[in-house]
Amino acid sequence: MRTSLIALAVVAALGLRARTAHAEEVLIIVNPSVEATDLTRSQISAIYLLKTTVWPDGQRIVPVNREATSGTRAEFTADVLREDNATLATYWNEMHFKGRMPPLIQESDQAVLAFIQKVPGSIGYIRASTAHPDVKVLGRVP
Amino acid sequence: MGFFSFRIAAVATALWCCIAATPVQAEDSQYHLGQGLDVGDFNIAGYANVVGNLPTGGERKSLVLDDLSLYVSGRLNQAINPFMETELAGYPLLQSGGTSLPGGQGRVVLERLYNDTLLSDSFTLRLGKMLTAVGEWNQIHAAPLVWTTTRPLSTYQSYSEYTSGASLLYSDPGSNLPDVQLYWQPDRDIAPRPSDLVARQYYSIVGGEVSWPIGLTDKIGVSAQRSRVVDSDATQYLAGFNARYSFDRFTLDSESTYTTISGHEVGAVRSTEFGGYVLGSYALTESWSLLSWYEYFQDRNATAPIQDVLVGISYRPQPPLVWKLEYLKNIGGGSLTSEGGAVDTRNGVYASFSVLF
Repeated sequence: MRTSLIALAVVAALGLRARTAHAEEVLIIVNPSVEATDLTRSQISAIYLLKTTVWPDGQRIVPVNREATSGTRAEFTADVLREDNATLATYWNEMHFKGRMPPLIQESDQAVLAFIQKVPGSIGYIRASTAHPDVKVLGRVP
Repeated sequence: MGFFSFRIAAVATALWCCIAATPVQAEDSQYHLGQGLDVGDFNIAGYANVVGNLPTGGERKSLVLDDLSLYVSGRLNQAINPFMETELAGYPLLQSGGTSLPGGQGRVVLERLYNDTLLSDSFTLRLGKMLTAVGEWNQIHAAPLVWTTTRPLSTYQSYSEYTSGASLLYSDPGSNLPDVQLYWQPDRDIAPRPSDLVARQYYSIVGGEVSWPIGLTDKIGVSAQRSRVVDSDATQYLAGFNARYSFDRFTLDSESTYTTISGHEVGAVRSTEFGGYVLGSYALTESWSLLSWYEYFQDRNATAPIQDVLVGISYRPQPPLVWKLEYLKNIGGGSLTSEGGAVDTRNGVYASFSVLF
């Protein structure tokens, strides 16, 4: 009995450590042209769900997402959008057909960073360990 | 080529020229299945749907490229955000007996051509040819997005599927208020679908829809529309209701319309037309779903209501790809052809493969 309890504790500790190691902070970054200084989770969610399409200064918002298999995207989706991938895919496909373009996809942190640096009004997310010159950080997840 | 066709071709050509003229660097051009090709400020996407028809009752078996659709959207600035969709519809591939299909060699149809102006974060002004906001099925009618290969009559038979004119759309960024769309078509459709693809043509259309989101894809909507029927003195008033609700693996989906017709319309034997369907879907796994719908539809040209039951299964290995297999059984009143004739042609097995590309 005691051995089992110790084994359970070890497994739980290892699992927690694995989760902690995996769950690196994700930075919400925008092009320097964006005047906003911070964003709430619900504001970020509204942008990625295509409910908010322009910044307060009138500039068009260009949201950037990672590819479906990305771990960073999985964390962002779970912490910010709080919807499952299948529902989100259905939603974005429907919105696309209705004429609202879903977030653009970039397939690495570096690609996201390069896009955000270049495109006015764009917003994206990258892992905190990625060097991020020439962009503004508007939030951290979680 | 008619004058309107010429103008549409000119606008389409201009849109393509805009895309071609957009300065694009190599890393700006990316393709993702289901999301299309991003070229600078433009996105090029589409869908294809191949349908196998195995009707009962002596009708011929066939394999048809039901839709090959291409849509181009641009987001340039607050004022200019064009959208164009054209499709090849009903292109026959195979038919039992080896003779040509009644539908000929398919048709190229302009589905949509409009521009969105973002008046604010909540309001959008849309000008051009667009899908009519009555229910949800009509607005997401692409085969990979809808439940079944066979489209319920209630989702298209009683109104114009397209509006050529102006529309004002409201969407609350906080999702606290319902989405609203008002639309107005002052005259006829700028590019009407061929008469053998629709029951009737409409003009002088005005209407609106209010839709309450109760989840990301779940919603409840109500709609109203007044329109006039081409080549008649009939005016019709339509009220619609639609709802989708999901709980765990189940989804319930329903749409219904009720239309009153005043004035004379050739072929009409009733002054009302109404109907609705109720659909249930159960997700067996992330990819496989069982589904069924029942529809009751009283057509204005028929004395008895039509009742259809459908059972089917769908397999979606990825969100943009779907295989569907279904059996449709008429259980009363006969079925309708697209012209509105009460002929029992829809009984049978239908299978399709569709992809968003």
